[in-house]
Amino acid sequence: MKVVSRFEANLLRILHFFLRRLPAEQALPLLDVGLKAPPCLGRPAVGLVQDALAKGTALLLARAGGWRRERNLRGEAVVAGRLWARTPPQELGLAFSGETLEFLVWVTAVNRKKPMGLVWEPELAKLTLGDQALLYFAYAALRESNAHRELDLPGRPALQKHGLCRLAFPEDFAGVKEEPPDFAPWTNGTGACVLEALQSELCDRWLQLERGKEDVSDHVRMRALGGSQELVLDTYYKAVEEAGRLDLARFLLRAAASVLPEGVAAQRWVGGLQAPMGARLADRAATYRAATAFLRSLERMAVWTSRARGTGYFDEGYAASQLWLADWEHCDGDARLARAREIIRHLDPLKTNEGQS
Amino acid sequence: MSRGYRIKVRESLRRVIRAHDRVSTQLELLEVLPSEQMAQLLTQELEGRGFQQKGGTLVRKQHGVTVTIDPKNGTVTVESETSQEAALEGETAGRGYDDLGPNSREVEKQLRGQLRQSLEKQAEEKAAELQSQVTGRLERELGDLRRELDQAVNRVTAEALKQKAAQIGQIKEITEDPQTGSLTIVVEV
Repeated sequence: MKVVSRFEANLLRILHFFLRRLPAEQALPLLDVGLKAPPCLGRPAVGLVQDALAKGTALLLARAGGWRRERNLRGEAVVAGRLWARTPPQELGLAFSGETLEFLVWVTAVNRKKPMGLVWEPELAKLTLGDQALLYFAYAALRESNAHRELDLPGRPALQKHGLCRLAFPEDFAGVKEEPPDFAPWTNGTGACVLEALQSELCDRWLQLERGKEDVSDHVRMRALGGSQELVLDTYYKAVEEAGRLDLARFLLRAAASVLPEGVAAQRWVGGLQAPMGARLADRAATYRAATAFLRSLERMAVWTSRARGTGYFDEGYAASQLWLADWEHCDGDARLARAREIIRHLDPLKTNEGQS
Repeated sequence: MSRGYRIKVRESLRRVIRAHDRVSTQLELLEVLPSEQMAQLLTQELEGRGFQQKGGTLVRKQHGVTVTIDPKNGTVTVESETSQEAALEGETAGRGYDDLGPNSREVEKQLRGQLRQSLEKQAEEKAAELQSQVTGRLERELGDLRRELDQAVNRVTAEALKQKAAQIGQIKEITEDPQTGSLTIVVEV
C-alpha cells in the first residue's frame, strides 16, 4: 500500500477526473479547497501520477476513437486498421515532463475563486506532447462545469497557443487574441496519431458549434465566433497541407456532411440573429460572413479535391490523393459543397434580396 | 440671508457627422477564356454601362452610391457615404444662492455639463438617422445593381463563348434568346 498526503490524494483525484476515470462531482469540490502546495511531491505520489498518466491517456485515446478501424497516411502509403495497428504501439508513447506535475500541483493548490492567487506560467517550449495532451484532457473536463473560465484557462498563453484546444473549442478563444495556434505538434509523428484518435470527438464539437449558430442572436458574438473559427481553420488547413496529412481534416468533412443535408437552409446559420435598429449593411454582411466561416472553408477542401482528381497514378502523392478523394466521395463532398455555396450566395446582399434582411 | 438666483446657460455644438456603408462581393464569372481576356471583356462591357477606368478598377457613381469593380479578380464594392454639418444649440436654466461666487460657478458648471451631454445625445441621434438614410439608399440601389451585374456577366460569358467557339472551328450559326438568356452556337470543326 502506498501512503500519500492529503494534498497528493487531492491531486491524484483531480488527475483521474481529467482522465475521465472519476466523476466531476467528486473532483470539482477539490478545486475549492486550495490546500497549500508542498515543496515537492513524495516518491509514492509521483509513481501513482506516472502510472495514471501511462494507463489513463492510452485508455482515453483508445476509447475516444483509437479503436476505430480507419485508413490513414503513414509516409506515402495508406494504412488501415485500429490506431495501434496503423502505428506500432512503441511509437505511440507520450512523454510527460515536469510541466505536467507543475500543472497538477497548481490546479490542486489554486482556489478557483482566486485563480490569480497562484502562479502557473509554464515554459511553452518545454511542453512535451504528453504535457499538451494532458492539458487538452484537463481543459475538456473542466469546461463541462465552466471551471475553465473560473481558472481563466482561455486567457493563459499555454492554452492560447494550444492547437488542439483551439481546434476543439474555438468559441472559448473568440476575441481573446489574433495570435494563431500552433498545430505543428499535432500534424506530425505521435501528435498526428492523437489527432487521428480524436477525430470523432472533434467532429462532434464542430457539429455542436455549427448547430448552435441558429440560437445565436447577438451579432457581436457571432462575429467573434466566426473570426475565431476562420483563424483556427485557416491555420489548421495550412498545417495539414504542409505536413501532407489531408486525412487529418476528415472530421471537418464529416461535420460538413452532417450539417449540410438535402434541403438545408441559410436560416440554420443566421435564423436567430437579431439585427440592432439601423444596423449597417456592412455589419450585417460581416456577421453573415462570420456565421458561414465553416461553410466557406469547404472551398479549401474543394481545391484539394480538384488537385487530387488531377493526380495521376505515376504522380507523387497518388495514394494520399486517392485517400482524400475516397473521403470526399464517401461524404458526398460535391453535393455538400454545392449546398454550402448556395447558402453563402443566399446571404450575399449583392446576390439575393435575403442577404439584406 | 441668501437669495435664490436664476442661472441661465447657453451652449452650442458644431459637428460634421459622417455616415458610411459598404458591401462587397465577387462576380461569378466563368473562366471560358484566360483571365486577362475575361477581364478585358468585362472592362468593355462595364465601360458600355457608364463605368470609368480609375487606377486599374472601374468606377461609377450614381444616386449617391459608388460602385467599384476590379475586373482582374471580379471584386465588386458598393458604397455610400454622406456627411452633414450639425449645428446644435441649447439653453437651460437652474437656481443658485448667489449670482457670483463659488456656488454660482458650481451650478453653472453643472448646467453646462448637462446641456453638453444633451447636445451630444442629439448629435448621436442625428448620426444614427443619417446612417440609416445611407444604408437605406444602398439597399435600394442594390436591387437594380444586382440585375445589371447579372446581365453584364451573362453578356461577357456569351461573348467569351463566341470567341472560344471561333477558336475551335468555324461558327455556322448563333442563336440568342434575350428572354431566357440562352445561347446556342453551332461550330463546324
